[in-house]
Amino acid sequence: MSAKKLLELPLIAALALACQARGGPEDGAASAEVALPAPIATATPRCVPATLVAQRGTPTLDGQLDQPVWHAARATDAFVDPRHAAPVPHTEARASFDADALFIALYVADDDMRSTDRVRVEFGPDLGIEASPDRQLRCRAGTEGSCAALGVQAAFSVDGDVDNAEQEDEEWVVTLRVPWKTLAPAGRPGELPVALRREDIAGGRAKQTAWNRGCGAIRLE
Amino acid sequence: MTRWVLSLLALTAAGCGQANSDDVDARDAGIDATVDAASSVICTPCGESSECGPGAVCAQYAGSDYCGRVCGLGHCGNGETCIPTVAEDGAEVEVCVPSNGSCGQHGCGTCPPGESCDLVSGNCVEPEPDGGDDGGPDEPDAGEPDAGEPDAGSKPDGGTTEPHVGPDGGKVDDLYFAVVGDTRPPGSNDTAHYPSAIITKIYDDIQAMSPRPQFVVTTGDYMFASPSGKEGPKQMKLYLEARAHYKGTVFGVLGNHECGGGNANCAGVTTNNSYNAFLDGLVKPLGKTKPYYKVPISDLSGKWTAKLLIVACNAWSKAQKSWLEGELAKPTTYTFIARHQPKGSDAPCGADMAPMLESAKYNLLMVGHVHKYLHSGKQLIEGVGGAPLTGTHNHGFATVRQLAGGGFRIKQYDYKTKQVVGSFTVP
Repeated sequence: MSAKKLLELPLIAALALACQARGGPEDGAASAEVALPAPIATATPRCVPATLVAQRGTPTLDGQLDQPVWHAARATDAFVDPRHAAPVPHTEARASFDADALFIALYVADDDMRSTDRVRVEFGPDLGIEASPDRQLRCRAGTEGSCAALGVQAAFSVDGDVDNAEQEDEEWVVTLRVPWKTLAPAGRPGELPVALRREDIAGGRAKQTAWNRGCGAIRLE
Repeated sequence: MTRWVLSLLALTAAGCGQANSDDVDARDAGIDATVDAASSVICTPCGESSECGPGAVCAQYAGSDYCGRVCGLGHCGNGETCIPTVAEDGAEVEVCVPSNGSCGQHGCGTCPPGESCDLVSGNCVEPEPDGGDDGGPDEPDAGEPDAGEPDAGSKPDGGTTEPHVGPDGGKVDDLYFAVVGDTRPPGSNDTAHYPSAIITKIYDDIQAMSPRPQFVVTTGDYMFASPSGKEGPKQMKLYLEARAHYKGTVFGVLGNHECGGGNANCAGVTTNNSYNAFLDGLVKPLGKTKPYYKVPISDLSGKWTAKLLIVACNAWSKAQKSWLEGELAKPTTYTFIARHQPKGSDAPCGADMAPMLESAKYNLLMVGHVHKYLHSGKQLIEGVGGAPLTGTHNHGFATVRQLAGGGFRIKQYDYKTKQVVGSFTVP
């Protein structure tokens, strides 16, 4: 973490604490997110088991879903609002792997893309990756916050203009490459825990949807 | 300050702002202190029940998440109604909510005559028909043709002409048709993830309606594929297999994805596999050669005339512009226009059509492109035919029904529940 960011943290933390004291809707998560994406499992104890099957294959990391490896991949069920049964903007994920890395593609249907929108991938409490349609990638692994240092790579495909409500946006896609040496230094497992979440800011409020609530898993086949 | 930090600040500040919005409405004085405190939080936006204090939970009503007093703690106050809904943790609860289904600017507001407020969704809806066998989309409303209206294909009372709308139009007692839009997979060439199940169910639903819609208008995007590849025709085939579940005529609008996506223009193009698949699948079977055409429809007894203008924004040309100007100038009692992109679009037709839509007399503009159900003025956006949703209405379709008293009623149906999830009327 840079010294500049360290200087900024107290300001954000103070604002988050003030919000908590006033009963803000995102109090727990907001303060924990200050520097890096927070583990979502801690905030949402209810757990809906789900499995995302990853098949062997090495996609080109270009943010596109038009490759055979992604076509062959099974998509997750659409993300849902864990609190409501009402339909929500569509999000889904696919996964593949090879000897060196795990690949995840996240498709996000969005007709009003904002730089504050984001999707998160959490591999347990120790590794989190967050991406936004303005092609920003953020990582957290223990005390390490540099995606480059962790070897995490991403590519984006964005159909529309970010932060421009006048445009007819359709969707954005981020494809991620997470090396096994970061994800599982002791060796590639047959299954690993994962939580997937999307957060949009709409009308000044954070709208959250998720594939699961912290007890999902990617199974390698 | 970095963008990362700025966005967090914005998020945090937005959350604070929500907790202190101006929607708090204390209405329940006279009950005990706990109830009073709980009632005072009504319409307070929330994320978790812990924010709502004792006796209240964070629950969905008026179209969002607000604190609400659990009904079991006492009677609801004046202007409040006890309803079952869902709390933030997924539990079913009963809470006191504003009887008008509104929290500040959110929710139903004042519903049009004949409609009532769905207090949970905050949408004005028509009352569900009583006594339906499955609650499905099969009952006309008051002011609309009664349940005795003949299905397409049956003879009207005393008539000698069969009400029917075919590829070249036709004659009917009262106009009644369906609108379906945007059916494509998330990724390009991703035929394996084509939404066949959804679009098949939609056409099954339309076919099963009684009375059955006389025809279907589709608002475009039946595929997502490379124009030079083979997947476009494959996806068109899947669409046509679903479409075959409806036995009437389908008038298909050209979408931008049938031309390669974006603002591509296929006018004069002969080598685009996606465009050719569209022409072969949805235009030529009607006996037509161009992706733009008129469908004339009139009343069996000669009381009115109507035209449906199918516009191809992504095959835009001077010839089509001239044709459209000419057709819009011809007088008919009713005019319906269908194209892919909504008003204000920068599609190839956008600039030319904008002044036409300003000056022309028409009843309804049917569009897709945006993967949601929306209406604004005389525009219906129908883009929930299987494409990835960007809104908060489920996949489904709309119907347009001529009202006995004048005007047209548009209803939006959820393909899973078959329930009406939205409606509006145009003159």
